[in-house]
Amino acid sequence: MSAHLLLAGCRIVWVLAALFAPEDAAAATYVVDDSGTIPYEAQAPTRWRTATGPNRQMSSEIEGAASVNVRLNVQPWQNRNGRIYLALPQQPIGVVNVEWATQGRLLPGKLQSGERTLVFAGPIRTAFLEDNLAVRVVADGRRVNATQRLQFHFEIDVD
Amino acid sequence: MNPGNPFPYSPSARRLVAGAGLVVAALLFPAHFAGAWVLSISAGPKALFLQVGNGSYSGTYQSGGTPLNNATINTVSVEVPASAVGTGTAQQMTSDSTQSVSFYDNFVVCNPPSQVYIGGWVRTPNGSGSGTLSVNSSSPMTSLTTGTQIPFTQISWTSTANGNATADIPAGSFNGATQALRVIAANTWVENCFTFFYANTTVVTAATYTGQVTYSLVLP
Repeated sequence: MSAHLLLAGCRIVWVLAALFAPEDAAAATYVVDDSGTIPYEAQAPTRWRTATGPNRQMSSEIEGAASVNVRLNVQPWQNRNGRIYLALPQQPIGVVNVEWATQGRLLPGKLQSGERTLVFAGPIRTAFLEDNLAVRVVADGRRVNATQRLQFHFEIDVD
Repeated sequence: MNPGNPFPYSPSARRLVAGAGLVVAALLFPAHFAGAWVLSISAGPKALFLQVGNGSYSGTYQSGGTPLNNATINTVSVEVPASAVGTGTAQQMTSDSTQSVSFYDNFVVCNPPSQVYIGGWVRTPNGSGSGTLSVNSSSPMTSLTTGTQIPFTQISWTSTANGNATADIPAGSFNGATQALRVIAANTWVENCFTFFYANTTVVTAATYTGQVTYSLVLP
């Protein structure tokens, strides 16, 4: 019985390792551990935008900005080629436009909710990728009745 | 032992293995693993702006400017010739206002001093709702020398603006109390230029009569 138990245990471990250890996987997409990001939950105070419209309409869009020090743990894919994307799922408040500038380690860019945008491509030579992102978010203020939590994530495509 | 079972161990052993599997998973995904940093955005701030006569803005709305406080109280006046007092011929008034441009886009909307700028806007957290523009004229114009009075019901105004002949804020007359002038929907800049008239329908004692009306914009 104990031998059976050991054998079964090894099989389970092997299955789990195949599922979760990306360095052993073929080309695939993985969520990147970004838990080192500071602040991990950033507050972006909003203000009304200033776009003009016909009949002296004022913009109904709000924008918020925050600075985020992103720290991505890419150690599982070290010494491999990868493409890392910043992604934001679709939001209940409608389209959210996001734009960010970087210090150069990651690529600046923009995206709409429901999309992802490339922020890094090439060989991964270090265990961590860090950069400071100046993030600006624009949303339809008519649909934002209360504080909304926009859950971003980074994902990596490895060859 | 069930020969059809691919895992040839007892249910209790299976539970043990399942427990071991959880331990392995915990090692591969440590407790701090996360993949969703959060950026929280708040609802748009509630705000309003009202300008009567001279006002201040940091630049224009179009250029990203924001309202500034301006404590100026402008004066509208008319001197009625003795021969015309009480004839019923309305007397156009003038002002000390110098406000000609709209802070929306710096467009020249008013022609001071005969026209007095009045405009405003409201913002609500979800961009809906409205504010109410009103004016209180309950205190009559009074002569400090004679103590006699002229009610504000003797004063009326026309409303227009360069580039927008249709009055956003309608023409009217003071009613000697608080009266609503216009409901201003959120996210709309409403503005006009008022020209005031003294009705001159009654003979009053020769004197200087002064009074003050107060405009308010209320956002519930």
